[in-house]
Amino acid sequence: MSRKKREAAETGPLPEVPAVEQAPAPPDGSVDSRTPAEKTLDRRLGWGLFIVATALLLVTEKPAGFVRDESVYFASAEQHARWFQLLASAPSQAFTDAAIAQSFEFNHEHPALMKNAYGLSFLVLHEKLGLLRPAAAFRFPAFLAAALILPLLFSLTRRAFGRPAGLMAAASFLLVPRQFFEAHLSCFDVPMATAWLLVVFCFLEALEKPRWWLYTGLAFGAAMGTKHNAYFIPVVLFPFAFAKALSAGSQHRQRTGSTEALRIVQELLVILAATGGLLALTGWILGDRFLSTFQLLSPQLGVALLGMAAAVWRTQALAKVDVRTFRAVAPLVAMAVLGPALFYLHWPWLWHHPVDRFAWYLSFHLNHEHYTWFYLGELLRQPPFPLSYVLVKTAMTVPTSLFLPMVFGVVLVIVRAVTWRRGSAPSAGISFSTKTWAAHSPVTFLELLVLANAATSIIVLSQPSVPHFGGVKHWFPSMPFLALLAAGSVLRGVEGLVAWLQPKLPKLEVQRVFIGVSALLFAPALIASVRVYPYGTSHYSELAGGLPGAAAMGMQRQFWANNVTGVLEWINQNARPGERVYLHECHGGQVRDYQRNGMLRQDLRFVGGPFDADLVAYQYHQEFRETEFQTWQAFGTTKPVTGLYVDETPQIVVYRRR
Amino acid sequence: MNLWAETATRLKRWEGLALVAVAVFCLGFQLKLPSATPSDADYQSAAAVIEQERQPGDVVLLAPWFIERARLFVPEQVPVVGYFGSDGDDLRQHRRIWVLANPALPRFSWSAFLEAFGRGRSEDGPERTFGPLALKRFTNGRARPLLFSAAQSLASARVYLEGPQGQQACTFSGRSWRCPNGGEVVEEWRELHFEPHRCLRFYPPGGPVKLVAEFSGVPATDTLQLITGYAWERGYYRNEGPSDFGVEVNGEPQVTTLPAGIEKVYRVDRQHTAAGTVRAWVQADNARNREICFELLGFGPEGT
Repeated sequence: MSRKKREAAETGPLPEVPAVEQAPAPPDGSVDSRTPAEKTLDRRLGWGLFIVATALLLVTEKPAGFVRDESVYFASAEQHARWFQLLASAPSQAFTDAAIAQSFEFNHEHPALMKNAYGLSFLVLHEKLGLLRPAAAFRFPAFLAAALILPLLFSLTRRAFGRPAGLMAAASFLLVPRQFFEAHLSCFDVPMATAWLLVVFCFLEALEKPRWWLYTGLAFGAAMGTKHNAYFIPVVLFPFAFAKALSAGSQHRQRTGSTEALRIVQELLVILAATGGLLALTGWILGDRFLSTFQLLSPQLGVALLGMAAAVWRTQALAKVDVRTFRAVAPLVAMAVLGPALFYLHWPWLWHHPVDRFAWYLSFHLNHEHYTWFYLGELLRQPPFPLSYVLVKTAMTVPTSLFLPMVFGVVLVIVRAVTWRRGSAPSAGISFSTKTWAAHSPVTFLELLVLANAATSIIVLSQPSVPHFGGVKHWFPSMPFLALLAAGSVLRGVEGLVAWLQPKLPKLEVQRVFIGVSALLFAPALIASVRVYPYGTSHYSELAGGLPGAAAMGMQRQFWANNVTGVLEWINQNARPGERVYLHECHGGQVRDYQRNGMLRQDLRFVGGPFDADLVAYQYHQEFRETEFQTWQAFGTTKPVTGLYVDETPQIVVYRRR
Repeated sequence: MNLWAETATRLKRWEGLALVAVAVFCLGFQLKLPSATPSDADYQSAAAVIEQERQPGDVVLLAPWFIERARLFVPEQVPVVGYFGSDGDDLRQHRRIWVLANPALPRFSWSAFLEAFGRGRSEDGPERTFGPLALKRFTNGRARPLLFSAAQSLASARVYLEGPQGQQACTFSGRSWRCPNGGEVVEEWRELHFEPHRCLRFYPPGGPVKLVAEFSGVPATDTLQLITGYAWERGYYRNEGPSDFGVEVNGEPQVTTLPAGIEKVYRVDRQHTAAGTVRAWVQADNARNREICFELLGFGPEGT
């Protein structure tokens, strides 16, 4: 009797559910059983998603206001571009520290990869070709980075849950209004989500295919060059890589009788644990002095380099013993070696003073200041912050029809992971055997990996000491993985519905119902996206009661100062020639960019506060109420002349001096 | 029978049903939300009623508190009150309250609003609706006749610094008092923990020195109310230390300590004060960031 038949006999007949048209992924999601035609189709779908997303972001770019950080990155990117021009015209001069400092010192709290791309894009698409306005040219690489999430997510989800689920997961990423808005920006949060996803994608490919260990290392280098969130990626991948390596090593022993592969894996574990442990111990002993003592010839750097060299040496040896075991650990070793190397190479700022400047960079982010944030009626100004903040904020900002399947997806993977090995013998005709449970929905390596990656950013950022400003953007790297698990939930739910309804409606097909249910889940998110755009930082979900519900609960209803675009047209039409204008919370860089992109009149004079102004555009934040009352004081009136009100919540309120 | 398998099958079904149900709910929410947005004409109509029927001492209270768009339309002679927590404001200086509400907005509940607002208030006339807006007038049973206001009496006050070396007089410049330490006592709009207040700037000079505003000829009051606090975010600064705010009525002191690190509005009622001299003073050992602002209001008894 086959296993399937045995289990059917044990459980009784179960409704036959026609499978969704998909590559039936085996439990470890490892073997690609697609036909060449299916592979071509998937490649085309991936490209299609990428192209459509890029085009969508490009055509919806114009209304998206310049957030506070973005104008800083525009300026920084432009300086990077000038350095690249210098590199082309006078290379020897470009390599001097003075020239590098001139272009890279500004905003060196973030690495250069994306800003290099933004700057070069500006140079080519705006200055050389004149194809795009300056802002769109800067932003174009951000569109590409955001659009890349879709094919990556499609590919990963397809492996786990089939093609329709892959399409659903990919599309759902841009249907989260905050993600759609921020996908337009020349910032780092969405590109970081892309980079994280790319590393995991490459890691999974590397388990099966040659050379992908190298691509994993390169992708990790790109992630390090994007934002410091990247440092958590190896922490997540480490247990998966070694679990896989130990499993492959055991299989190798069973096949050949040789324990060499296992022994090398154990050696690598010791090397990496010793290196990490020594560095951690030094950090613990030295405390705050750790970074300052991290010199070029310091023992710390020596330990790190020795550890890396030993890991490379043993990994090379492993390649000759067993290729499957090698493929499991090689990506990690490549990340450890190529990541820092690429990080150093891509950022000229580090070239002449790698240790000092890297130490400063790390120190900046380890000691980041806290910005005030309104949360459930309280102004959060400094740690400790509420542990539940990240979860609550996610629940309140991701459209509920997309959030619920995420929750189901996460819970179901956890439940199945926990119950997977907990079997018991049948008793009195009632069996709780997990064999049956597992046979129906075995938890896969891919799902566990996805769960770990979904959870990491959320767990890290939930720490009460971590800065909590910035809405949800800091844990964007979790969101593609949650979208993948959500697609799994929708597929499961559809299968359950079809099985339930099929006796009455025999023509029901899982695939069609899946499309219908996905459309139903997408519809509210799409309406919300259209409704709130371009004020993406203001979006709240149905669970919150939308923006009015969030206001009633005392939640932060905007940040980053981009909503001012809602009154720029009024100012352009109504401001007197040369009038003094105070755009509250907008810094000079934003004003420069609005003028440079033709969104704000050139003749207006911009001042630093209401007492110097004739016209004030106040941004309604709870932490800035004083500014509005200063405006009342300065202008002698409490009555605004216009404003931006989204779903009846005040965003920008404009006052004119009498 | 295998309970795991059955449970798994049922779970799948419920998972699907839950997803469909939530999607339908969300769709309904998104389709309904636009109807909660009043048109300009709705606001104009409501404002026209207020304009026609307004009386001195009227106030407009927004419900929920954030429907600030109303400020664009409400006649300027009628103050508009709407801040986080304004549902519970006594509005003691206002005999009639126009509640301009938008009950169609999500998470707005009349009953929750009335729980905070309703005590001592009675409806005065019918509810009128303008699109999703509802306009209701209430008689404010918490209103009291205003007998004294420190801000209104500022010009006739005596303002000085008082320290171990004695008193140093501040000089009145027509609008404000200027003191020898560079400080100024002036009426201005300030934020006290989200609330707008037209209050007197009253920054402690630092050390043992007090800034004093002395008001003579203050009538007897049923309630002498002190409203004070650190302006804007200054209360949050915890390294500077506390401040003491004293109110002396004919020499009888009552001191309120404003601790550092706490952002709140202090409302201190003192019952049945006698006519005479009222001295308000503030002192902080470390004056940095101790930006204090206060209102001192004397109210008569109810119904006078």
